[in-house]
Amino acid sequence: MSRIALLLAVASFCAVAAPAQDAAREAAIAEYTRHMQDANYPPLFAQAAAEFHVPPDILMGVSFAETRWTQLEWPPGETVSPENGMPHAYGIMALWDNDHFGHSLQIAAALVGESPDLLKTNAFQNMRGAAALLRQLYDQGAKPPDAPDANELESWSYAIAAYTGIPEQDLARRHAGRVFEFIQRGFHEYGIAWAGHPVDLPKVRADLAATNPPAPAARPSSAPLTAAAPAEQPTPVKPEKTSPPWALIGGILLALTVVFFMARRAVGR
Amino acid sequence: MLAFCGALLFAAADAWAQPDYGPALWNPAYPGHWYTSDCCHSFCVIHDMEGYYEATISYFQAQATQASIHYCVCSGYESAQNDKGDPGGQITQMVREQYWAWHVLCWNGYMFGTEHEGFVSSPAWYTTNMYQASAALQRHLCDTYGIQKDRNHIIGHNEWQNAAWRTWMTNNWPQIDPTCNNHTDPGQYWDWTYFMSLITSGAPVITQPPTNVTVAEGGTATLNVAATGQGPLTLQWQRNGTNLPGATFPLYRILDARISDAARFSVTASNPVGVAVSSPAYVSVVGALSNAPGAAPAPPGLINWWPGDGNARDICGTNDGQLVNDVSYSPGQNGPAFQFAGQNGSINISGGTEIPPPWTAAFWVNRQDAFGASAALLGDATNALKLEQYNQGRKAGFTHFGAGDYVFNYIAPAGVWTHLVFVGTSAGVTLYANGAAQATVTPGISLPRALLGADSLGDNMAGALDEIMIYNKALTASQIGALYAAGPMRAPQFGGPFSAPTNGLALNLVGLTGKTFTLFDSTNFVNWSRLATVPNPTGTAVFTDPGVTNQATRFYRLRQP
Repeated sequence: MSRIALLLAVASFCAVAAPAQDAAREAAIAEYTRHMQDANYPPLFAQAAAEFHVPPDILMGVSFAETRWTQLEWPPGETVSPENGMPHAYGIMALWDNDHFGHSLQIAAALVGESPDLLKTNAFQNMRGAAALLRQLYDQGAKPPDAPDANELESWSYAIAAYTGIPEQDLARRHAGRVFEFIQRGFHEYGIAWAGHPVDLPKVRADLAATNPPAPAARPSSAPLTAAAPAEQPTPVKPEKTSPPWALIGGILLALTVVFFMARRAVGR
Repeated sequence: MLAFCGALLFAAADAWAQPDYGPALWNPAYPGHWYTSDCCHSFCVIHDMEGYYEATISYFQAQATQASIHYCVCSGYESAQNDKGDPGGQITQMVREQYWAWHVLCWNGYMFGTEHEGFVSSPAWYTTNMYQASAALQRHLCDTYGIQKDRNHIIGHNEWQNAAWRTWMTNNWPQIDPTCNNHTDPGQYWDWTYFMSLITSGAPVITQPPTNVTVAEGGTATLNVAATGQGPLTLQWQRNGTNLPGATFPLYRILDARISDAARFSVTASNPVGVAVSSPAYVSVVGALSNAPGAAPAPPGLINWWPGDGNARDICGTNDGQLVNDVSYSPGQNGPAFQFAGQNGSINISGGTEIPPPWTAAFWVNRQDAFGASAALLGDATNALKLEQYNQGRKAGFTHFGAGDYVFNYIAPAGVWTHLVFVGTSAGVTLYANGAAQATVTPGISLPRALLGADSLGDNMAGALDEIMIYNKALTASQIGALYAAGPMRAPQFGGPFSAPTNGLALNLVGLTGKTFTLFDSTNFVNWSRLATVPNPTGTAVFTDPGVTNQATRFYRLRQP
């Protein structure tokens, strides 16, 4: 289906404007489309989402907005884009490991008990780590008003904004809003098959435009856990001039990680 | 990324709050991350961000970042409802055009830079919206700074790979080393042919499509559009796809808006090179709520009521709707109705969660044959009430996705207003048509409430829906009969003109669809006798009274239940 759609799209481009389409580009897109079809990501998204009780469309929406479902992998040791110095995002869920956007890769890896290197190279493990992190941000962070139910997609808007690691809250929230636009729309092109899901967009937009919620660190439930953080846990480096939420909540998340781990091991995983 | 960044520090606060390019947002890079003097503005460089839009803007705002860019362009897709939710094609300016951003090393002093959202590793970033918005931006830069619109002057960050360009540079710009960059963006998926055709052809581009408007009845609805393209550029507004005579300006106003003005609006921009059509914007008109004389109270348990009278508001509950794609309004059974053209239209219901049995859903339906094999009245991703069940010859039914398609042995007539009521209990679903029970079919399902006229799989219906009511109770047959009989607040009447065939007088009767007319006659306006009962399947009927002569005076009176 998607291949047919692609050919139609190319044909319409030709009709509009192009005297001679670039055959190499068409071949590359066809190759990409086959690759995406073979990868068949939706069942993996569903499995990772179910394990951590995240609605699958939330996981798919975040991934679509941040990577277009592309497993982003980089040469060993390369941490920023050689094109413009932009810090690299890792894997299909665009996890971070830098001082500007934070170290969600490290946190996610710890949450699922896998190595950060595995999350960089294995799309499914990357999804699992991101799902665990999203769930934790949802459980520990502020929630939109009138959104008590994690089964409702609209309840996840603040967690998604936090997930981006973008220090400027207005930008993070704009991005979260777009995630829901994509969820509402779905996508059927380039081998991506995603039905999407109806979303109450006016509510999401109102929530994201609302007054800033209390910072996650200020929530009372996290206080005792912070105190329990073991000293040997690596601490995210905080840059001098900016104060990204990641740096602030990273320590708490790491502390929570330990508890989470122990709980999981205790039930015999 | 810069050879000697920081050599020129720009200390003064930026005095401008407005972007240099009208459609752009202004969100500056970290102060001083640009040169304030250099050679000239003679090239436009196309980059991709190697990041997503908001993250990249954040990155360029950071002090530690040793790079900057004039403009960033957002990816994104044709927005179904076009209410600015999806900013596909949105542009953010980060460095003044009069300065030089840090984006191409030794080429910096000559070149504008535009970053495009996405990574080189996927073609899904480069959307039509993005190409069109960026092409309009590059055309603006070329026109303003006298840059030639060709591939020697509009280049990729990877242009150093192009031997022909390197040779051309050596011959024309010997002071620039064409090999001081080694990057690969925007990569193999960038469609240069299409992009350059947009720039050089001067074909129109809608840079700011109109947005949805809701006004109170009597208020003013204002729609705006912005478009670019080579002149002469003309605009033409459409209402429900039909050109509006004289509506050829960027601003279109509806003064003293009436309920009947609610519709889907769009605008085309055209010039000798081509035509661009905007995505649709919906005008909603909200009238004062009032009960008509003689209106009866609704049965208990009413929780939602969408009258479809020029807006998609729920006048009983809080689940307002939103028109999406090819939906508009048409004359309904009572005031305007939602009109579904059948391709992709739906009404998205805000906060519409499912209702477990018992429930009742009532519709006035004017069915047309759907384009697809299945048409939903009300649906979500789990359940759907079907006006036309999948591959069942347009019989009504309901579906529990993943479990089964269930069908009633009933087809709603095409082109005729019909009152359909679905009643759900834990045992099954009962269908009533014009107040008469048709059948009960198992199993029971929960009532979906996410979409009107569609479900999450599509299943877009064609035709009109009016006065949609939802109850959290199973209404009884007599309550449903009363609902049907209550109907619209319109008395039966005689339609004109009268005609006199060879024998008798033909009377045009107009009234509630499906409700039989009773006709009385009198010679003195005092004593009335029942003349006839006239079936009324379509809302209008003709009765010919054979007893009329030229000599006698006769009076007629018309009634409906």
